[in-house]
Amino acid sequence: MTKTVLIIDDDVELSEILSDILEEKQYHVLVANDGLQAIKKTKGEKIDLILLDIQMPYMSGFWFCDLFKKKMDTKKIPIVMISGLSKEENAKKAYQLGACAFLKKPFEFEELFEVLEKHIS
Amino acid sequence: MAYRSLPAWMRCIIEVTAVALAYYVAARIGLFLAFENTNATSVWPPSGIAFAAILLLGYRVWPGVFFGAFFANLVVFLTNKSADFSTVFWASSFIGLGNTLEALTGALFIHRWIGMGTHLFFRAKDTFKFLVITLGMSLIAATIGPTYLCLYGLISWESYPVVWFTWWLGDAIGILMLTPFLLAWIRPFASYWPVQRFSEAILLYVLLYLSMQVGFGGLPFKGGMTYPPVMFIAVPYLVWAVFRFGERVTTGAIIVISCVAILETVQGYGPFVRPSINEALLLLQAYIGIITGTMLMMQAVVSERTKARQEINHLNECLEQRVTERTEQLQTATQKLLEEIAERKRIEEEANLFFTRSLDFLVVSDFNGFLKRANPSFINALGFKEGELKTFGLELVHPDDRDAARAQLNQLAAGEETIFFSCRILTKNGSYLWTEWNAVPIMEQKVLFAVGRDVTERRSTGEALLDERLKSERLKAEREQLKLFSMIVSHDLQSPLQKIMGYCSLLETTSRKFLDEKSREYLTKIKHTSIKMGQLIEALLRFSRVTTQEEPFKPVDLNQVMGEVISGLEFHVRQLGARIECKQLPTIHADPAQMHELLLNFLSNALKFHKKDEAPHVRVESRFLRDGWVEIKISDNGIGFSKEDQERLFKPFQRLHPSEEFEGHGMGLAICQRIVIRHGGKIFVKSEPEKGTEFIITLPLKEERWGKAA
Repeated sequence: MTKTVLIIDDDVELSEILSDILEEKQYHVLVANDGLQAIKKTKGEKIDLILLDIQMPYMSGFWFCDLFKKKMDTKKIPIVMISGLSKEENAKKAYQLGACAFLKKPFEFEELFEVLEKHIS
Repeated sequence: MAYRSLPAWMRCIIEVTAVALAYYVAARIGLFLAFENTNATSVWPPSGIAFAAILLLGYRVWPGVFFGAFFANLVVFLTNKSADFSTVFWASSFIGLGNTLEALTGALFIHRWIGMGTHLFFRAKDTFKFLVITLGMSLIAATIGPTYLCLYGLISWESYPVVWFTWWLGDAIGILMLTPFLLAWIRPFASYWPVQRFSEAILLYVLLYLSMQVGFGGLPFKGGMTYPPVMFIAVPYLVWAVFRFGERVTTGAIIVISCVAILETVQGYGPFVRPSINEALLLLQAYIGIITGTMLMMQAVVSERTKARQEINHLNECLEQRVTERTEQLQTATQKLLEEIAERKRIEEEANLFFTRSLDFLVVSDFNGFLKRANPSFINALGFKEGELKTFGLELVHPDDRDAARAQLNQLAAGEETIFFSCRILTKNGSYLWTEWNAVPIMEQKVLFAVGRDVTERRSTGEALLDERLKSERLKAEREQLKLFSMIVSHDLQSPLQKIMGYCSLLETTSRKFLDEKSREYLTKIKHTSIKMGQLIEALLRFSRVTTQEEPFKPVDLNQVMGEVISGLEFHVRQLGARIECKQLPTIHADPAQMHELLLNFLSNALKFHKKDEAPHVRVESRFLRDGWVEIKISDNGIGFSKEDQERLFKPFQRLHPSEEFEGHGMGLAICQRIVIRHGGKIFVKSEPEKGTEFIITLPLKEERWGKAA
């Protein structure tokens, strides 16, 4: 059964790369370039995991995470945060908000696959 | 006193009776002086007594005069048996009436012309009036008496003129003789005479009497000799009395002269003895009248003159006294003035001493800002000559401060004081001094006194402080910007790396079949380089974060930090089979995160640069130094490095060892250095190639000893 991964990143190019790589790995990938788009796209879809950038327009990744983790229908979706920001400072906050992992850019894709396999049940 | 306390009516009766008696006695005496066997007297003393009584006691004693005259005449008439009783009674009544009227009229005129009181002989004018009044008043009695006598046939009409004339002169001379005498002697004595003066008066009277005897044929000419006419012999004595003694003695002398002249003549001696009684009587009367009148006048003149002289003397004395007083006052005033001048001089000198030596600026100026006076401190500070300064006015003030200065001057001109007014003032070399002024206006002189001070230094210090603050604010802003910059760098540089790696992965998977072994190796290297690049960026951020994201210091237990660090490295330690020996570490005041980073860097370095054939052995120990310093020593048995390399050791991006062999970015020690410097400490290093490395870190225990973050 194909798992669905939602990529939320304002960097369109990176989103495409990630999307290509994950599709190669047989994931069903949805892409949103900001939080609002993401909310629209998740409606009616069954999402297995979210890759979430922190610095985005309109709505930061932290805010989005907080929002999703408070909604009954979405709070069980695992969220992996991806950021170029320092891990020491931001990972803690991400975990507090309910994220299951924090990937510091640049990361190796093997690391990403490990995380995905670990958190998609 | 007892007399004064009697009732007025009783006093009146006593006085009237006394006057009547006196009149009667005087009349009897007067009759003694009459020529033998006649009633004709040269002098009628009672009229003098009556006049004096009225003047001394008042008009109310007139009955005394009347009754005295009545009874005296009655007795004379009865003795002479001239007529029957009723005729004599009425004649006496009329004569008494005449005498009474005479005295009352005289007193009336005296009061009218001269005034109340009995001082009739102190002024020549008054004495002259007295003489005229005397002659006038005597006419009354002299007219009433003989007229009645003639009407009733007591004397013949033929003898009327003679009787009238004799009567008139007799009354007049009686008044002249006795009234001044009585007035003078009855008046209370002003002072007692000394014996000498008294003796002189006695001598005067004796000599007068003797000379009168000579003049009027008494001793030594008694006995029918011819008499030399030396009746004027008395005059020198009278003059003596007038000049030496005054009123009393003079009037007394007149009495003496009159008495002697009358007595001698009546007895038939002296120069006035003539065959006709009337002739003799006339001469005698003329003599007494002239002498008396003249002497009274003379006496008055002398008295007047004496009095005038006394007044002048008194005035002179007063004047002298006043002059003395004034002179004294003047002297005192002068003395005071001199003292005041000296005092003022002293004050001025003192003020001048202060003025010339004051370190502050002291300035006197008008309300337009033109200097009138300035002390050396001000002149020297500005460098202009005093003359030059006086021409400047407000030009001396910096153009920017001039309006404010003018406003201050206007305030001062309105009487308000200036406090702490600051402005810039031009100096000769063209620079400006910051000055601060207090000033007070003196409205009367239209000037102001100002005290000023050069505050340039303080100002510049203030400006420096301001600069410092601005700088630190700028620094803060810069730091903020740097922080933002590093965020942007971290985010925006990392993403491209991620993409590079992404494309590599995609290439690997999608084009696997087209890639040979070598190409795949290159792709792997690209990915690794990207990872390394990411780490470098991260390290650079950390390095800058030491100062851009510093946290406040707090007590940090280094044992705990070391525990965390070691547990973080546990995987490595186990992998390498390394041994970490850690002794008791101190608790110091520091930034906990940075302490963590510091120890982590040193430990990971020690583990990293190990010899290939030897398991790493790291020792951490510490000891307290003097003055609250602590030393931490981290030593290993690693590869070490050469002395030359030590210099590059703490510079960013310096790698001593080939990166193929040792991972890393070359930032670790640079970061450590920064952290230690921020904490006010130092790092020392001892190392030799292949013999291990020893890092010694000294840190202060307490914050106060730490310098500012470098």
